[in-house]
Amino acid sequence: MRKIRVDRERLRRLSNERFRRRLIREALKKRLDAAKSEGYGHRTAAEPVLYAPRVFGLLDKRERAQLLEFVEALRVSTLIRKRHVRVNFSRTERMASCGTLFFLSEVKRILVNAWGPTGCPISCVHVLNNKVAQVLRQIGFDDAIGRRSYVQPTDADVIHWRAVAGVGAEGVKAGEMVTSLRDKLPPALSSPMYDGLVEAMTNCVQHAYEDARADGCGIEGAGEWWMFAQQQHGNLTVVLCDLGIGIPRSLPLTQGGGRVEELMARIGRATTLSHKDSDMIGAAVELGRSRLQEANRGKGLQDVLAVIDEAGEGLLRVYSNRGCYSYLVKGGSMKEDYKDFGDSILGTIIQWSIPLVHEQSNE
Amino acid sequence: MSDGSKKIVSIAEDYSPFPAGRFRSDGPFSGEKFRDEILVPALKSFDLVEVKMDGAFGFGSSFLEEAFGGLVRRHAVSATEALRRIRIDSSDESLVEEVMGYIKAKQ
Repeated sequence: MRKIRVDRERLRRLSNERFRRRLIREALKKRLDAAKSEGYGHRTAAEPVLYAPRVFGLLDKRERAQLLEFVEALRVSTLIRKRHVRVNFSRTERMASCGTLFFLSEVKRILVNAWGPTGCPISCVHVLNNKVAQVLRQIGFDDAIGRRSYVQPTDADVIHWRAVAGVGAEGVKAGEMVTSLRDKLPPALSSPMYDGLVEAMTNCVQHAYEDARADGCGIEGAGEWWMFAQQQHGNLTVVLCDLGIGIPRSLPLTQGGGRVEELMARIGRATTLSHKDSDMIGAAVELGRSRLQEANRGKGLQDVLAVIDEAGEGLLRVYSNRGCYSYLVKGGSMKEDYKDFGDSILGTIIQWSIPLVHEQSNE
Repeated sequence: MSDGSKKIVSIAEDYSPFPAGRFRSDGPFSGEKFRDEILVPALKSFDLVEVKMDGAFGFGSSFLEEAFGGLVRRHAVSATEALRRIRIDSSDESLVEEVMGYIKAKQ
C-alpha cells in the first residue's frame, strides 16, 4: 500500500483558502438576502441588455429613430414585460438637450411605475465616454437608478445642466428655475420665461393627459412634466417635456374639429384631409396668437411663443408626437418650419433657445 | 355688500409670488382660487378693488383669464361693472391691457 505523504503546509494553505472562500460565500449570501429584503435582486444572466444610441437627439431622422427604438425597448421590457434591463452606454458619444430630457423623462416614468419587488428595473454599464458619464451624473440619472458614479461633472458645458420634475402648474419650481438663470437671462426675459414655463406646465395638467398614452403600458398620467435648463455654446436652452397624448391628439379634443379646420386655414395648411402632426402644432401656436373670444382654453402657447418674441432673437421648437414646429427669430426676421417624422415621441417637448451670444442652438 | 371704500390687493403679498395655472386642480396658486378666495370677497365688501401685480414672478395667460375673465363668466359681475370697480396697478402697461382685455372680451 502506497503511503500518502501529507504536505501539512499545503493542507493548511488549502484549508485557509477553503475557509476564505466559505467566508466570501456566506458574506455574499448575507448581502444578497439583505438586498432581497430591501427589494433588490433577482437579476439573472439572461436579463436583456439594451445598447443606448450613439447620439441622444430628436431632430436628425436617423438619430431620432435610434433613440425612439431604444426608449421603446426600455419601456416594453420594464413596464410591460416587467423585466430588469441593463443599459449599455458604450456606444454613446453625444447627448443633446431634447433627446436627453426625453430619455430621462421616460426613465423617471418607468422608475415610478415599475419599481416593484424586484427593485430598480434599470441598471447601467459601460459608460465609456467621460462627457456622457458627467451628463448622466449631473442630470440625476445615476442617482435615480441607484448607480454609484465616480465621475465628477467638471466640464463647463455639463455643470450648468439643471433637471427639475413636477406635476401641474408649480409656479414655485418655475420661479426657482428662472431665479437660477437670472444672471444669464436678460432682466426683461425673467417674467416672460416664468409665464412660458407655467403655461407649459398648465397645458400638461389640462390637456396632455386627457386620454391614455398610445404606448400600451396602461399608465394614467396626472400632469407630470420634466424640465431641463442648459447653458452651452453661448445658448441658454430650457426644455420642458410631457409624456402625454401630444398636441395632435389633444387639440381636437379641446377645440373641436371645426376650430381646428379654421386654424389650419389661417396658417395655410387646410389643403389635405388628414393633417400632419406638425400642422397640428402650428394650429395650436396659431390658437395662442388668435384673439378669438370664445377660446378661453388652449391658448397657453401664446406665452410659450412670447419668450422668443421678447428676446428678439432665439428659437422655439415644439416636438409633439410625429411632428416638429420651429419658430426662429434672427436678425429681425422670423421663420417658421414644419417637419414630420415616421415615429412618434408620444408626448410633447418644448424647447426655448436664447442665444446669450450670437451662436446657433446645439440641436 | 359694499362699504363704499377701496381695498388694495397685492397678488404677491396677499396670495403668492408664484401664481400659476387656471383651475384649482392645476396647481396651488391658480387663477380660479385667487378669484374665488381673494377677488370676489373683496368685490363683495368694497366698491373699488385695486389689484397690485408687481412683485409676482409673472402671470400666465391661463391665470389671468380665469381670474379676471372668469369673474365675468362665472360670477354675477358684468364686464362693465368689473371694469368700473377693478383697478389694475402694474409697472408693466401691457399687463394692465391684457387683464382689461380678458374682462372686455366677456362683454
